Amino acid sequence: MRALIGRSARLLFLTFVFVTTGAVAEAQTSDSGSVSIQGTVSGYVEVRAGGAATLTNNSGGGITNNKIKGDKLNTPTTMTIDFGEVGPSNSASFVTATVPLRLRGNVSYTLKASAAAMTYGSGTPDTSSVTLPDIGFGVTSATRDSGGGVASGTDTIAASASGDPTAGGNGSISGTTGRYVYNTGHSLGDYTTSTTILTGPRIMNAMVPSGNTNGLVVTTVFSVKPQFFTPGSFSTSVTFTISNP
Amino acid sequence: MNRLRTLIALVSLFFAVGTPPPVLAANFDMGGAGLPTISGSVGGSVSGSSTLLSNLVVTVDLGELSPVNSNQIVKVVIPIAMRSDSPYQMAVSLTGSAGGDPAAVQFSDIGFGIQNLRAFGSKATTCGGNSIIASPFNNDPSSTFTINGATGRAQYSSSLANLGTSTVVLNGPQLTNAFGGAGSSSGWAFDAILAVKPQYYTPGVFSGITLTFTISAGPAFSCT
Repeated sequence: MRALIGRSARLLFLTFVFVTTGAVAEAQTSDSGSVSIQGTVSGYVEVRAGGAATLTNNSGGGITNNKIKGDKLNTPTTMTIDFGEVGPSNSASFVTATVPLRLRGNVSYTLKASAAAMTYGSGTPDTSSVTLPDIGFGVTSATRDSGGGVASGTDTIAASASGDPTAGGNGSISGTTGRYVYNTGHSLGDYTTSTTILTGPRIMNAMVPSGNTNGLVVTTVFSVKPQFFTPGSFSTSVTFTISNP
Repeated sequence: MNRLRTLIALVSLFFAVGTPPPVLAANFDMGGAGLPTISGSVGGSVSGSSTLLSNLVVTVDLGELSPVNSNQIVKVVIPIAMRSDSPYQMAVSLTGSAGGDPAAVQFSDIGFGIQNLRAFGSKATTCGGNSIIASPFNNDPSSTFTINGATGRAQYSSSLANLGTSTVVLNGPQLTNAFGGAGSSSGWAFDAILAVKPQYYTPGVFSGITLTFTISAGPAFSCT
C-alpha cells in the first residue's frame, strides 16, 4: 500500500510538472486590434466674386473694394459701385456695371437676388429721383468653368432676369413720360423681395476648395440710363443668396 | 487497489490529452500606445484604449468632410504598441465599402500612413528600430498629399485604397527581450495616421469601414 501511495504521488507529481510545463509553453501566436472609421459630408453651397467688377460709360464714380475671383463678396470688405453722374451731363446711353459671381456647391442650388430700399444721401427725393425701377438688372450668362473639378450640368437663368438690361428688348423709353422703363424682371424694382434668378444641379465634383478657382461663373449686369433725375445721391445694396435647392 | 490505479491512470490521461502540446511557440502582442488623437475636425471624435494591456479597439468619427469644414485637413493619429519575442509582421485588412458615386468619399480619399516607430520600456530590443515600413506606407498623409491638377481632388502617397484583405505594412525582428507576458510593458510602437482633406464630396454619411491590424510571425529578420 505504501509503495502504491508512493508511485501514485510520483505519478501525480509528474502529471503536475507536465501540466505546468504545458502552461508555460502556451503562446500567443498572433494578436489583432481594430479601427472603425466613419464620417459625414453635408450639403454645401457658396456664392463668391467671379472676378473683378467693371464699370463703363461712367462720369466720375468707380468701384471700391473690388474683388478677384473667389473673394467673399462682403468680407472683409464690401464692394461698392458708384455709377457717378447719371444726370444729362453724362451723355452716354447707359452707365453699366458688370459684376461676375462664382457659384460652387456639392448639391443643386437656387440663386436669388434682392435689393434694399433706396436711400438718399443728399437733396430732397421725389418721384423723379433715381428709384429702384430706374436701375436695370439682368443675368447675361452662367458658364461652368471647364475641367478642374467642375461637374457638367445645365443651369437655367430665370426668364425674366435673363439678358442685358440695356438691350433694346429689355426696356424702352416711355412714350408718355419719357422715362426709361425696364421690362419686368430687368430692374431692381422687381427684386424688393428675394427672387430666383438662377437654378441648376450640383456644380462641383469632389475637389479641394483651394485646389483651383473654378466654378460656375454668373455674369450680372446693372445699368442706369442718364436722365433728368432730381439732383441728389442715392444708394441701395443688392444681396445674392444661394441655397439648396 | 486496482480501482485506485485506474483512477490515477485516468487522471493522468486527462491531463495528457487536455493539455496543449508543449511547443515553444513565439509570442506576439499588440495594443494601444496611448490615446488616439484627432485634429482639424468639425464634429469629429476618436475613442480607444491607451494601454498595451487591453485590446486595440479604436473608433474614429472624422466628422464633417465637406467645405463646411474649412480646416486644411482632418488628421487622426493612432498610437499602436507591439511586442514580440521573434521576428514579426504587422498586417492590415480593410473591410467595408465606399460609395458607388465617384464623387463620394472613396478609399483613395482617406490617406493612410505609418510613422514614428519608437521603443518603449526597458526591455525593448535595440534592433526593433530596424523594422521596415512597407512601401508605400512610410509617410504622413496629412503632409504628403498633393492636389490633382486635372480634377482638383486631393491624392495621397498611400491611402486605404492600398490596403487589401491582409496587407503587410510593417515587419521586423524581435521587439522585446524577456517577453514576460501581459504584464510586461516593453516593445516598439508606431503611429497609424489617417488624413482626409475636406472637399466637395457628395453629401452623405459613411461608416462600416474597419481596419484590422494583426501582428504575427514574420519572415526571418536578424536582431543585430
